[in-house]
Amino acid sequence: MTVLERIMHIEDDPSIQEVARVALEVVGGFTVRSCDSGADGVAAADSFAPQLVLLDVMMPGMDGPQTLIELRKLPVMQGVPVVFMTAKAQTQEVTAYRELGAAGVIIKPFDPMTLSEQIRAIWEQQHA
Amino acid sequence: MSQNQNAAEQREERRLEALARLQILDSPSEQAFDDLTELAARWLDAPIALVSLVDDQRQWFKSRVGLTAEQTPREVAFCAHAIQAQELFEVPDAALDDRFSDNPLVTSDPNIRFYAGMPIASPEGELVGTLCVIDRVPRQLTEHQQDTLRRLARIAEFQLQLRLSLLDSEDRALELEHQEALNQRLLDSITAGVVACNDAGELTLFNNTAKQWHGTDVMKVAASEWGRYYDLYESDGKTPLATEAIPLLRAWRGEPVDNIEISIAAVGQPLRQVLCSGGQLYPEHGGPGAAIVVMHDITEIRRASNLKSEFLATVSHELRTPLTAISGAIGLLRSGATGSLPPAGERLLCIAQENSQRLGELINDLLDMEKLEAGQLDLQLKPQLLRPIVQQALEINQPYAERYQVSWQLEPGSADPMVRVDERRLHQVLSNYLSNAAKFSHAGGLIQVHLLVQGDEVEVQVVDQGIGIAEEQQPLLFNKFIQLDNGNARQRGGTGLGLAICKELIERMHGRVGVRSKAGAGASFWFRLPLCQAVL
Repeated sequence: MTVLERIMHIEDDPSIQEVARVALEVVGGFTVRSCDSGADGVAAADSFAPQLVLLDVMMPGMDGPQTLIELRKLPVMQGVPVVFMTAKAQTQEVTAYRELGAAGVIIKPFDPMTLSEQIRAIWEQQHA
Repeated sequence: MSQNQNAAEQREERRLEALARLQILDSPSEQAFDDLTELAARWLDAPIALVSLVDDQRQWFKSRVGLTAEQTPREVAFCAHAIQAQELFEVPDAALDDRFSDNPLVTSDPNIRFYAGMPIASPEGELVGTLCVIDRVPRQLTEHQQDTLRRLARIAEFQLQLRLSLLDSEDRALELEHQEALNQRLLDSITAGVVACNDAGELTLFNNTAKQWHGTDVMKVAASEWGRYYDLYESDGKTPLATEAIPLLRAWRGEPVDNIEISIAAVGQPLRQVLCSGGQLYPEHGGPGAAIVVMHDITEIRRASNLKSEFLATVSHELRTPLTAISGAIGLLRSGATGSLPPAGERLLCIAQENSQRLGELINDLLDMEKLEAGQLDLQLKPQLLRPIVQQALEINQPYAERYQVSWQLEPGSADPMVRVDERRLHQVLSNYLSNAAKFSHAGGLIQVHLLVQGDEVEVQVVDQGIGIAEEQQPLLFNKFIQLDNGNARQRGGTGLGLAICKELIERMHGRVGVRSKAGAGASFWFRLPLCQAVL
């Protein structure tokens, strides 16, 4: 199984962006590309070629689901798992995210110490 | 004053009241009474015949033959004596009778020598007057004539009964008229809409408010057309209301109509959300019947409630976002991922972490309550064994037990029934019960958890040995925003929503909640769930 190394994190809140970056880089040992918006993520996808995308749902401009649709149009993103990260995680909302093609849902507030483990578990599930 | 005098005065008072009720004094002449005096004069061969009514200070003649005076003072009235006699009162020769010989009616015009009067009783039995005949020569009535006078007097009494009945029915009609006017005024002045139908299910009433809301008055249209004619919609304001769901028709059919929400969207009127309550007017008759429905405009309340929900959702999201960053950053720092910390820094970060967790719990409580109230909390009920869920809850909440220096145990031998629950939400209830028990226990206290099957239910009890709850405070515990002031320094703040949320959640799982406690003697918080027969 391919080892997960590159994660793109799309999140408009700079504080959460920074906490997640430290958690994924320092605790998880990943290489992280932080993007401020959906458009930023779509623009950086080609050059960064992420293996997994961690995507905020509620963002100004392009929200998470719209960003997912745009990312899926890129050849480099074919087969790349996208994980939603959101506080809106009622059962029917989670079902809706999965129907959109999300590989998993991480609920905010997240635990920075276990975030990397959660991401790895989703990755392994995808490649099992 | 002697007792006899007193009794006589009371009798006279009752008599005068009965006379007043008849409203006959000084009334115009009436053929029925005039016929009676005419017949009495003819049949008893008397020049004078009277229907005399004995008032307080006078006698007044309702009908008279052979006499011009309309009334005479009571002190000279023969009839005043007659009503005391209670039977036919006859004076054969007044000039020879000590009681009347110097009476001016005897000594001068009309020169009475003979008098015979039969008392007339009011419908209540009070002797209010007489039918009497008078002659200017001494004489005596034959038995036949006496009988005639009695019979004619009975007819006079019958006339009085008729009169009183007529007066009563007139009073009742007037009262009814006043009541109807009052009802109409009330109906038209209240801000609620009132609609009614008759036994046949035909509309009979729209009060002013209902007319305004529907933009029309009652029309003769079939019930199947009401929805269209009166612009009725479901509470969403868009879906036309099915005929069978119209509150007035439901009430007419005898169904309970209690706080049913619908919308009215008449042309030229704002969309109104209304809450309807009503029922049959005569439910005891059985079957469909006349009904009434009262509608309250809750448009503003709904609007305010929606605004509140949106506000809470927005605020909660906006609070959660920085909280996620704060608790995440603290967590990373405390983990040592960014390097080691001095002991004082570690202690301060610990305080910051605990408080950010508390803030997170408060926000979650507010959001949960809001969702429960709005019916938006989606529970996933699945058949599951109860005991493993309780055991897991005890393990997850162990840090609470440690913080408050208490211990808890699931009583050995507890049942392990199957229940149909939302596991995550049941954990939430158990966590609330356990953390409350820890908070309100004394250090070193034991908290016992029991699972008891009782009939077709299982009761889960969380029993502490803490400070307990006074009986009068217990009914309030599961209300929203209740925090009892028990002066316990170990108590930690909260929203006061925890137990209210537990109650809602358990009820949504078709169960019940409650508490048994005495002040100073611990508390047993319990919830009951129906047993589930499904097989895993």
